[in-house]
Amino acid sequence: MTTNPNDRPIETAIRAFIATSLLYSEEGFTFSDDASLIRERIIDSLGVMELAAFLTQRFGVKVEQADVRPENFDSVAKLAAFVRAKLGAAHPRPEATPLA
Amino acid sequence: MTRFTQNIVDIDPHAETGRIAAFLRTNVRKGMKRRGAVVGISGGIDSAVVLGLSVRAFGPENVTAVMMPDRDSDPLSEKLARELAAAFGVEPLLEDITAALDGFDCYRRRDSAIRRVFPEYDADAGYKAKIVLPADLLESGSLNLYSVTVIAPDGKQTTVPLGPTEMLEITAASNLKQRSRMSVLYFHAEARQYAVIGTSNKNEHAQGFFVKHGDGGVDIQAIAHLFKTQVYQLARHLGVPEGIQKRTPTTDTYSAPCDQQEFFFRLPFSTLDPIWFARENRIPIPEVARTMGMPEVQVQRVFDDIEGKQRTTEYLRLSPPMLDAAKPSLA
Repeated sequence: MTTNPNDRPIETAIRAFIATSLLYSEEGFTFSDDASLIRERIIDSLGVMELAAFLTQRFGVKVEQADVRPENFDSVAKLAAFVRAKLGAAHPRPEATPLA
Repeated sequence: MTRFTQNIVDIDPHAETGRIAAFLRTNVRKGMKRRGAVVGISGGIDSAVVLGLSVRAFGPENVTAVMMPDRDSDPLSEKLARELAAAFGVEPLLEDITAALDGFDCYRRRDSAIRRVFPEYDADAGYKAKIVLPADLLESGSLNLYSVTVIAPDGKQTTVPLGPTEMLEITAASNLKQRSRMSVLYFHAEARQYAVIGTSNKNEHAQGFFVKHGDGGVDIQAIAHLFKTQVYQLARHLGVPEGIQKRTPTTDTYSAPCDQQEFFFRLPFSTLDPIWFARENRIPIPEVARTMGMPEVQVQRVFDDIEGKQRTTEYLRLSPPMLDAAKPSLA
């Protein structure tokens, strides 16, 4: 698992989900937050669906078909930015807190 | 290097027919010690061409054509399959697999998954359903997120996104169809000492648009090296009936009509095939874009979609891994 003293909870939750539910990894998420999930063969079409379902369940964001694009889904950093944008649009405030 | 054109994948159909017929004959007779061929015919272009090639390879008296509709199949499929068999001088066998699929609980399992995302769905009341991908690959480069389109008895269409659990269950239930067909084909092959001839084209085989141990469960692949547009060229050369040549390629798997472009490929084959060729042959994107008359960003999206599907479907083409022999114990 990547460790970062300035880690933020959205990235942590996404990394943990990918490691356990998509990679079935015992070593955790060993890529950088900017690594391409598509190019690194981390997600396929089912993985995209699982990620979309996870974002809705965990953070309460509604994921539309038009949102499911490489610009939003191709890395942990892009996914986290997407969640923040969605949460910020729904509840404008400096740093949104993910749902438990 | 040949100059890249929109017709770059055109082949010599006469020469290719001879090459494939020799390939089938050599491998089936000498390699597999099988006398002839069994081909599942769907009324589609791919199985039509493979039937024609098999007849060229073995003669009509050594080829068995099997039609295997189920209750969701378009009746047009059987009509076209019969026309095809007649055109090539083969007596077709009809094996309706509906009862077998009922025995597997295929329809109930699939429909209960659809109802979880669309509760009004009721196949007995006349609702139909199909699985689709977003159509706008060139415009948006969106990722492959499957949805279900439900058509109500009054014709009203509603598309809702599928969750991963529902997608897996619908796929698993639907794949019972292809695996049942594979079992029927092997019954006829083993009863005659024939080989089962595969009907997947390059687009399907390389991008994973087939069912492992279903339509992918065959003895030999006749056209897995050919782009879809090349299959059409062979169809014209072999004399496949016009009705099949003009029919839009369909999955014929779901109860609602569903063409292969909306289900999987997301582009017309006349666009997809030359771009795929360009990617395989490392033609620079600016040259491809100029020739195809589209922006470079769209070419890149098609490259990415092809690469993504090839990479993520490797499992389908993978033979079961096994270990080398165990070391004998010194004791």
